Amino acid sequence: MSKYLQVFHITWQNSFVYRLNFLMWRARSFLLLFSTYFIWLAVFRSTNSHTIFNYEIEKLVTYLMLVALLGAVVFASRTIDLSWMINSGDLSNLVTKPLSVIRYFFCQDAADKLLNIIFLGFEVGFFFLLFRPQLFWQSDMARIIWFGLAVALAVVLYFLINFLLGLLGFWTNQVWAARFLYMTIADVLAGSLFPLDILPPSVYSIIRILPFHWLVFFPNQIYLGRISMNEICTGLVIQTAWIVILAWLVKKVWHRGMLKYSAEGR
Amino acid sequence: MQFIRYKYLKIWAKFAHASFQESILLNPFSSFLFIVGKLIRFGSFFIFLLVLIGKTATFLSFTREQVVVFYLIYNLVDVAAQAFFRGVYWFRGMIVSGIFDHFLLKPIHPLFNVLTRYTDFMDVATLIPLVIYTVVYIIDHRLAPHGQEAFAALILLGGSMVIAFCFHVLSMAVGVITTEVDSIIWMFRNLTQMARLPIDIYTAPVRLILTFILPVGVMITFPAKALFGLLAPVWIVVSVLISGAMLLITLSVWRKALEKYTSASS
Repeated sequence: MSKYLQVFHITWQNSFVYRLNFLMWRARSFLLLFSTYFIWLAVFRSTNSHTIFNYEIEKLVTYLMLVALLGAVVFASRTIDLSWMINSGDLSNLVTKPLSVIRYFFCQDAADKLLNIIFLGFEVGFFFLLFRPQLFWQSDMARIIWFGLAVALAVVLYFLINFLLGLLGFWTNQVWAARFLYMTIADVLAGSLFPLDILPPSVYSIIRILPFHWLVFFPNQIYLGRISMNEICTGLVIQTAWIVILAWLVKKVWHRGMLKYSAEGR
Repeated sequence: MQFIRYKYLKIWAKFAHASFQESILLNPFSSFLFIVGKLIRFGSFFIFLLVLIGKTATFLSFTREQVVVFYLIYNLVDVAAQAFFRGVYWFRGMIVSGIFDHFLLKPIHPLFNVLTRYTDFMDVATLIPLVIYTVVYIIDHRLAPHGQEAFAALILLGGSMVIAFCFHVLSMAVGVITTEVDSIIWMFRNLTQMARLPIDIYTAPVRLILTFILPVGVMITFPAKALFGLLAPVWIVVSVLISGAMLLITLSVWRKALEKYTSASS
């Protein structure tokens, strides 16, 4: 266990090596929240209404805050390095050590997520000081617990999707194009840009089939109290099913990939 | 002077030819995935915009068609800057490896050499239909009341490219001193995203910053407003002056940064 704590500690320290890079990245996260908030505010001003797309303004602002939080908790990841390690042959360093590669990357992700959450706290605090937005506070403890569980499952789900994508490095050194496409699609279909239920029902029902919907939008809906307990239970089962499927795929693809791995570049 | 202009055009054509070969002939599938990703990114926000403005007759005193044109002009400027100034993403590698020394010795301006070295044909492939669609949309919806408005918008779009050039050069100047380039450029991209919709959505202090200090409003909102005949002539003059002032400041900063260049290794 202590070796994985060391991985966590080293990843944490590495994040502060390029300080300007780090500051710019945090500033960009803040700008994203800032501009999205003002877009929606402008829409409410233009309609002169307290409710739009069945979202009251407090719930919509809370949605945006939760997207920022879930972005830090779910989407922060270092697994992007996996394909590069495979292509450069650096994976050999890992597989020859008494370390599980998947746990290694999970610990790296955990350090990255913790860093994101801490700094997001400062950013959201600053945002509150500037704009004092009205928020919706969930008072039902059961929903908060289900929300926490959904977020935990979303973290594992996103990690597996990312890891699977990284394993493409065994077959191609052009993983970045596939990753760019995946990140673009995930950003939209996870509900990071807008609540997915504002789309036409036929489109929304297709999006629900995909795993991205369960990363950000589903936990968000639990917290906002917009889905029933039945739907929460169904959603958690679907998240778990996706995790089982992806875990099986990761195991199979990893095994196939290791048979092909030739440590090129070493 | 004509010889110099012809020389630079010839050099750019050679760079573009090499970039084209690399992106289309060596990595056709990756190029295809990148183009699909860019189209999805454009399309997803466009759909979001149409859904949003579908709820309102006007958006902050702009018609729906005008809001669409704001977004199209944002894309024109963003994609054109990415297509023609793409070389900045390789600048950090040139600095840390010392290859930039050779750029300084060549009889070509180093800024031109670095920025235009990698013309992104995937962006060019999306730029051409975007320009056509924008022009057809404006003509179809009769959004430019007179030819002089269109002329003013074109002048300001020229200024937009100058400002985009300045931001790229500033990131290079910071890169010479700190070796961190990518974070600054991504910050620029996030800042321009703030002008996807008219900067009138922000509060007055933010609008001031986005006009006079980080002039992304001048880059994107002003050309669109000029096109609709909503920009007073004095603001057209102010925009040109801002572009010119930014160019002078940027070139001065670049010269100062070069004085600090120490050539890490060559």
